[in-house]
Amino acid sequence: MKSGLKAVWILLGCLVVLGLGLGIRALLLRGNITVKGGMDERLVYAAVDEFDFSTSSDVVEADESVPRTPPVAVESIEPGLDLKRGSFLTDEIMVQLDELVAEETIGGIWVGASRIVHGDTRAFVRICMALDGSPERLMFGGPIRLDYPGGSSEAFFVHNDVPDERRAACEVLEFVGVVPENDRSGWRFTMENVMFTIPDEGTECDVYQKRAEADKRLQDAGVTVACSHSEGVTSLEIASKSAGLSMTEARKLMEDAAYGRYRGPWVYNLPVEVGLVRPGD
Amino acid sequence: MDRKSKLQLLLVALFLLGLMIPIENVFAAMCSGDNCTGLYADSSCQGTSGATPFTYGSAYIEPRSSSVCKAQWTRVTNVAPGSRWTAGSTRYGGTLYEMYHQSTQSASQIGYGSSIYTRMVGSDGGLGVIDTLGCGRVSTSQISLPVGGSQPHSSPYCSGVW
Repeated sequence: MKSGLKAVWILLGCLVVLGLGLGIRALLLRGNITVKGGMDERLVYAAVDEFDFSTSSDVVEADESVPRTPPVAVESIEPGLDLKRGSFLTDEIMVQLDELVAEETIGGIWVGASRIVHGDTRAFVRICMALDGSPERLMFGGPIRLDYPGGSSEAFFVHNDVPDERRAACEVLEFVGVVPENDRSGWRFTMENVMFTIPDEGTECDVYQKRAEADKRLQDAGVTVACSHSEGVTSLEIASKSAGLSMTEARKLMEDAAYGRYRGPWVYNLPVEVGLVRPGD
Repeated sequence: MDRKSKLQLLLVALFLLGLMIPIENVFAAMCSGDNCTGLYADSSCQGTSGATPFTYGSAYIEPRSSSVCKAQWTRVTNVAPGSRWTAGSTRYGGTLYEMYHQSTQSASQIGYGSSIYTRMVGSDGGLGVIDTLGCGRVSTSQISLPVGGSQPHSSPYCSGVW
């Protein structure tokens, strides 16, 4: 009996020492681990469906007085080209965008919008969104479009902003390629949807499951959700549903809950101010 | 050799064995800088927005970075009003980001509001920062990788300025 106990102690001691070795090994390797599955590759361009801007007639010589401004002609600029000039947002424009001049609540979602500030080929609008009684933070949802005299733009930079006094999430959208026929009338901002913010990497399934479990629409429909995450892609599947609900309907309910999709549209005719942009900043 | 010495020898041998057992790292929590290249970020990296995110062609493209993991990657969200193939590439190297990439594409069309993200590109030696471009697209058909093609610096699907 006594010798048996001793053998157990020795075995435990061995395991502890082995574990200690493994632990030290892991600590030593922290920050110096052999990478498995890296995808560094020299490229072979067999099929590339990209635009080639190198021959664009829109490209002209840059003004030397603004050295960081890329060469573009303001009278005609494709949004994709204009994106490459970077953001023009300045502190002065942020001040101009501070006041919300339009608001509407649809389906429990309040969305406020500032006036539009236009300068160069850019139009800025600040939008704030809130869902009463929900701790979730909202963000813009596509499609979003800015109509202006003579054209429209659906390409924009997104600048996260501090919450306003309603504790709403606010964003400044910087539309690119905006070259209106005149500056003052006929500007309309349209946002079809809003959604909850995207979960941080590695937390997707936790967040989506919690949202699904808290969603009354899903509960009423008897839908439960299974989530898996692998290699940068999150998969949501229907684990169970009531018999009377089609898979398409169940899937739509699931995605609405998990991604926090709420439909509008929110359409605002907004006043326009001229703003001093700083191209190349 | 007495019994006590044998036991001590055994313990030392086990300790050395523990040191030598290879460990395959699958967690970004155990990487920093260069060693994060090729790994997917997890919550320990505490990713934040890098360069200004933007939307083009119904793709919301976010260059992401982590000061904890000293690495960068790209997240792409489908904001089209329907399911789409969604792909992202983090481009780096060469004279104009054209040489290397870390790319990810959804296995099928994913719903509006759903995201994918690329593997990380670690900073050089954990000290400097490798310049990267974040590229993303959504489409009704499969997307050629890497996003940004042969000229990512001038592609509207990629972040960065001329």
